[in-house]
Amino acid sequence: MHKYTIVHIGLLSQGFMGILGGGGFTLPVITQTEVVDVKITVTDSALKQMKNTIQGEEDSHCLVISAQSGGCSGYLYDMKIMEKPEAGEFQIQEFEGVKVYIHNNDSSLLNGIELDFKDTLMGGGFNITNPNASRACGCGQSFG
Amino acid sequence: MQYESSSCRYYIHEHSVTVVEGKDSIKHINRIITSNITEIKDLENCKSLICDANGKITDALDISSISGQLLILGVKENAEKTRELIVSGTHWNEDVKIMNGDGALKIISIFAKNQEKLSKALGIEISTMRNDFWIIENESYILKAQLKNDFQVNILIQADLIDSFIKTVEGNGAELCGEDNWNIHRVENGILSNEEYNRGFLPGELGLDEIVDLKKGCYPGQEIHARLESRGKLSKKIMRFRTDSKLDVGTYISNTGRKVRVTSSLGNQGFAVISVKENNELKLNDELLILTEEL
Repeated sequence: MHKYTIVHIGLLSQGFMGILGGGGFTLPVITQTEVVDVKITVTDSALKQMKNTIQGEEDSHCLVISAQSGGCSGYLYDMKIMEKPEAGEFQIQEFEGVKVYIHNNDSSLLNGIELDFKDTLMGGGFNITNPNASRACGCGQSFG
Repeated sequence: MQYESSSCRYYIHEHSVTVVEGKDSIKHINRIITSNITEIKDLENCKSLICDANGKITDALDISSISGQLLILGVKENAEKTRELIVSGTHWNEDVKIMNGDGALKIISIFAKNQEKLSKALGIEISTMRNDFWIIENESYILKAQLKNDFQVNILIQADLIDSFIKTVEGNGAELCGEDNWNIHRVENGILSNEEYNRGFLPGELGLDEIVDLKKGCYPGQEIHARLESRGKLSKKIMRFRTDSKLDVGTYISNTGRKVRVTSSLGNQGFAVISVKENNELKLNDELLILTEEL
């Protein structure tokens, strides 16, 4: 297991009109600048489930996998089947017609993940194994 | 040890200042912190913590909602790590903009043992102010702090206005307070600092349970906090101590063989994190240490 790559923070100075009435000063906006080329793998069972779910809508819909702060370990996975967002800031991989989108901001956190699906009554569903995580929550939804 | 009881003092803090705006900013920050700010009101100030996955404190925050933005004051030494956490956890589909306010905004504490003196220094009536809500006065924000012994307000001000503000309060009788006098004030009033926050303690060990909300859902460290709560197994707690001899910050072994971590010391009084099994009187190197109060 690797520790996830440290995020490099970029500063962009922008006009700021809020606290204390603004007007007279600007605050630098902090953005994430580290983007890596994402490569993910999908197991046969996960692919089968993805195809079942997205069935017939492959042209208009995709699976978006993302990470956000929270959960017991620091970050939470988020997976959505949704209408394809504008591709600009996403990296896209295709698996037998099903497109998986990962946002550039999440690239360092999600590069190398393996997406699996377990068809069991308890603890079933999609499951992510993340080589960037040094720890994961028991429920499988959070990593850090 | 006491600072001059007739005086009114001011102290300029070195906080990290982060401003978060966007319609999802509360939701975003609420996922990271220990308290629940989903119902935060305009001008309200909430205390909170950021913890690691082991439940240990990594930053202590004052979060205020001001005109639709969140102002986050944290421990200066933790600024980079906390901002990294906030930025790297921003969801691609959420409206959140994070800004660095270090150097642009300053926090000043003004305190006195006498409420009238404090009111006079500021030119406003302190007794009618609500705790935990900022009021806007001229070009600054003022927040009344609830302390054990003394009276204090915190001022949020643009850095380039600080000189004229200081001139005004000094003209009204307030004096600049150095690190030593600030430490006397904070130890006497049970105010924790980075000396406590940055030593890897759990919230409960520092008496901060009330800013941990176990019902709000997951946040980093929540699993550990919930387990401690349900099993009641906290092994340490922070206490105020006094002793006849000088006791420096550091780790000691008591006569019972247990660790005593002195986190803040004015010499013969301060804060120490000790085992919950200790009695109120114990000995360190043959010197009597009296634990006077739990924080």
